[in-house]
Amino acid sequence: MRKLKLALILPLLFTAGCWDHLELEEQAFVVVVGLDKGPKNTVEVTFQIANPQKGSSDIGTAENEPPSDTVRFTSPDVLSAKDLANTVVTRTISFAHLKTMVVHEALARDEAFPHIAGAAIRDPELRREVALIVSREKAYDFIQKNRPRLETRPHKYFELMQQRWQETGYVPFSTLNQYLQQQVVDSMFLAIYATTDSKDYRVSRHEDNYLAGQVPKRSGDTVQMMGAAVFQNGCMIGTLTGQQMRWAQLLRHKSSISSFITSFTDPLDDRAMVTVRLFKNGRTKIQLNLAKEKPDIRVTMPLRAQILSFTSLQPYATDTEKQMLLERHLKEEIEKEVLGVIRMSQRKFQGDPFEWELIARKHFRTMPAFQAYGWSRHFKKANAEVNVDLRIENFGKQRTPYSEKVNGSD
Amino acid sequence: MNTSMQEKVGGREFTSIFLIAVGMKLSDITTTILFESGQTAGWMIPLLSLAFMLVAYVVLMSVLKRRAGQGLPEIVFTVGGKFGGGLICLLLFAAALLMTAVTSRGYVDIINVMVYQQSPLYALYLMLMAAAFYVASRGFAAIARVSWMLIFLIEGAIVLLVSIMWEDIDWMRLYPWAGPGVLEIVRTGFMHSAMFGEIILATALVPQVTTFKAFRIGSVVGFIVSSLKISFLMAVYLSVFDYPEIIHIAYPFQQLTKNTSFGRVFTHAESFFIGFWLIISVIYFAFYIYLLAYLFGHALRTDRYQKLLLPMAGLVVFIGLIPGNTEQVRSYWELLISYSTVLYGALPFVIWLLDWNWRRRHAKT
Repeated sequence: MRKLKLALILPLLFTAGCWDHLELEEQAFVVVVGLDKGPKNTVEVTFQIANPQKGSSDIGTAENEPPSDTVRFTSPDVLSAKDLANTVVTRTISFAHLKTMVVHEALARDEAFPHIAGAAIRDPELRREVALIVSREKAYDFIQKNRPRLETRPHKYFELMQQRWQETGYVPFSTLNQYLQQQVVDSMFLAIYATTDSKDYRVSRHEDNYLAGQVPKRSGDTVQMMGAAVFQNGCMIGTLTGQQMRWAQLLRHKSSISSFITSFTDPLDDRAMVTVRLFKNGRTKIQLNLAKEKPDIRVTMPLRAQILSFTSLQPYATDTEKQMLLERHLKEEIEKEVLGVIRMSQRKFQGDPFEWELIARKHFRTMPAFQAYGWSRHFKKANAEVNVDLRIENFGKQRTPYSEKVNGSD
Repeated sequence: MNTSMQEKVGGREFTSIFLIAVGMKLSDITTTILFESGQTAGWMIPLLSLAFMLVAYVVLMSVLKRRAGQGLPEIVFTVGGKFGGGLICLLLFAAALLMTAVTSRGYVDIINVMVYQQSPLYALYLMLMAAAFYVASRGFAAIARVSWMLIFLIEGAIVLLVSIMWEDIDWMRLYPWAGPGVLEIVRTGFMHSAMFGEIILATALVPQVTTFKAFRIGSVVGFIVSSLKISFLMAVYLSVFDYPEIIHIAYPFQQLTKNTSFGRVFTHAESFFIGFWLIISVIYFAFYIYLLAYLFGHALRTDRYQKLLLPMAGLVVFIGLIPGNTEQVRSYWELLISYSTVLYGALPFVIWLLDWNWRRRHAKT
C-alpha cells in the first residue's frame, strides 16, 4: 500500500510546470516598449529586447552581438504584438523585466491612448510600476537613438535614471499605476517628458527653466529628460518645464524629492545669480476653504536653503542685514514662481496637477457629495495664496567672499 | 463522541486555524466586491459584518454554554429531533459546500489569471484540492498543528508586505470617510455578514477542542483579529491604489505583491508572497473539506466522517467548475453571501427558540 502511494505521488514531482513551464534560455526580455500611432486605429509597438549575454561573464560566446535589439510591429494592441514579434525573434517575448514604456507625444494626445494603455494593463506580466515616458519624436526613433555610452546594458540605463529623477525633481516619477489612477479622478497626471532631438535649444538664466530638447548641451548622449507632460483624463494636454515641475512636485502633499539645486537673481546685483540647494523642511501644508463658490487655497511651504554660491560676491555670510535681505528676496522669488505655476495650471490646463483633490476630499463626508462638487471645476476659479517659510541654513565652506578686503569696511 | 483525548486541539492551535481560514479573505475576491459598494469606506465593512455576526454568535453561545462539550450537530439533534436536526445540519452543509466551491473556484481563478495563464483550470483545481484533501485526511489535529506552525510566518509575511509598500501608502485616499454614506455602509456590512459565517459553523467543532473556554476564546480572538486584519489590509489597498481605481483591479492582494521589491536587486518579490499564499490556501481548503465531511457525517449521524473527505473534495471540484468565467463566480458569490447571511443570522435564534422550548417541556416532566 505504501509503495503504491509512493508510486502515485512521485510522478507528480515531474509534472510540475507542464503547461506554464518557462526555459530561461528561450526567453527574450523586453526592457523598453515604445508606442506610436499607426494607421487605421492600430499602434506601432517597438520592443527593445535586451541581450543578457552582453555585460555578463558569458560574453565569450556572444562577442559580436549588440547589447540589445529593437523590433517594431504594427498591431491592434500591445499584447497581440507580443506574439507577432515571434515571427522575427527566436525566443519567447517576456515582459517580466519591462521597466519603461515610451509613448510618442502625438499618441499621448490622441483620444485612443487611454484605451491602449487600459487594454495593455490586463496582461499580468505588465507591471503597474512601469515608468511612463512621453517622447517628443516617435517612440521608435527615441529608442533607436537612445544608445547610452556609459551604460552597455539597456535596462541598467533606465534603472539608474529612475534614481536620478527622484533626486533632481526635473521630471515627475511617473508610473503606469499613477496614470491609471489619475485617469479616473479630478487630478491631472504628470509624465516624464523626454526627447533625443535637441534642435531648438535656448539659454535661460535659470538653469532649470527648460523643456526636454531645450537644454543647452553640446555633447554626450542624445537623450534629454526634462519637464513633464500633463495628462487630463488620460490624454496629454500640455507640458511643464523642469522648473515648473520642481515646484509642482513640492506642491504635492507627498513628494518624492527632498532637495534640489536651483538659482535665483541676486537682490543686490541684477546681473548676478545666487545658487542655492533647497530642502523640503517638512510637508507642504495646503488649507482649503471650500465654503465659497471661489474656494480659497492657502499653501504653506516650509523650505531650508543652503547657499552654494553667489557670483555677486557680496558678504552675505557675515553681514546680517544683507542676509535678511537675501532671505526675504529668495522667499519672494520662490513665492512668485510657485504662484506662477498654480496660475498657469488654472488658466492653461484648467485642472489640478498637484493632487489637491485628495485634500479637497477630506472636506466631504461621502463620495457622491464630493463627485457632485466637481473639484476641477472649482479649482479653476480658486484664489491661491502661497507662503514660503524659508530659512537659510548655511553659506557653504567659505565664510567671506574674495572681493572683500580683510578688515575692509566695504 | 469517540474522539480520543490525544486528538483534541488546544486553544492556540484552534485560534490559529481561524486566523488563517478567516484572515485568508483579505486576499480573495471578497475585498474587491466590498469596495464596489463600500467605495472609500469599504475597509469598515468587515468590522461591521463581524459585529452583526457576533450578535448571532452570542445567542448561539448561550445555548452551547448550557450543554458544555456538545457541538452544534449534537445540540440540534437533541432540541430539534431527528427531522429538525437533520434538516438544520443539511442546510448548514449545503451553505458551506456551495461557499467552499465558489471560493475555491475564485482561488483557482486567481492562480490561473495571475500566475499560470496557460495551465488548464481543471488541472490547477485538481492539484489544489488534492493537496487540501491530503492535509485534511490527516485529521483536524493535523490541520490545527500546521496552522499553529505557520501562523507567525504568515503574519510576518503580511507585516513585511505592508512595510515594503509603506512608501506608496497615502492615507489621504481614505477620504471621504463615509464612502457612499453611513446608511449604505451599514446596510452592505449587514448584507455581507455571512463572510464571517464560519463563526457559526465553527461551533460544530466544540467536541474537538480541549475545553469549552478554549473554544470560546479561540473563536472570538480568531475572528476579531482576522476582521481587523482584513479591514487594515483593505485600507492599505485603498491608500495604495485610490478609490475609483481599486474597483478596476480584479485581485488587489496579488496586485500589491506584484508591486513589491526588496531593494534594487530583488525586484520581483511577488513569487515569495505567492508561494506563501498557496501554502495557506491549501490549509484553508483542508479545513473546509474537513468541516464539510464533519457536518455531512453528523447530518447522517455517522462517526465515520473521515471516509467522506475524498467525496467532499471531489464534490467541491465538480460544483466549482460549473461557473463559466471569473465574473460569473463573482455574481454567484454575491448571491450566495446574501442567502447565507439569512441562514447564519437566523439559525442561532431558531436554535435558541428550540432549546427554550425543549427546556420548557423537560422542566414540566
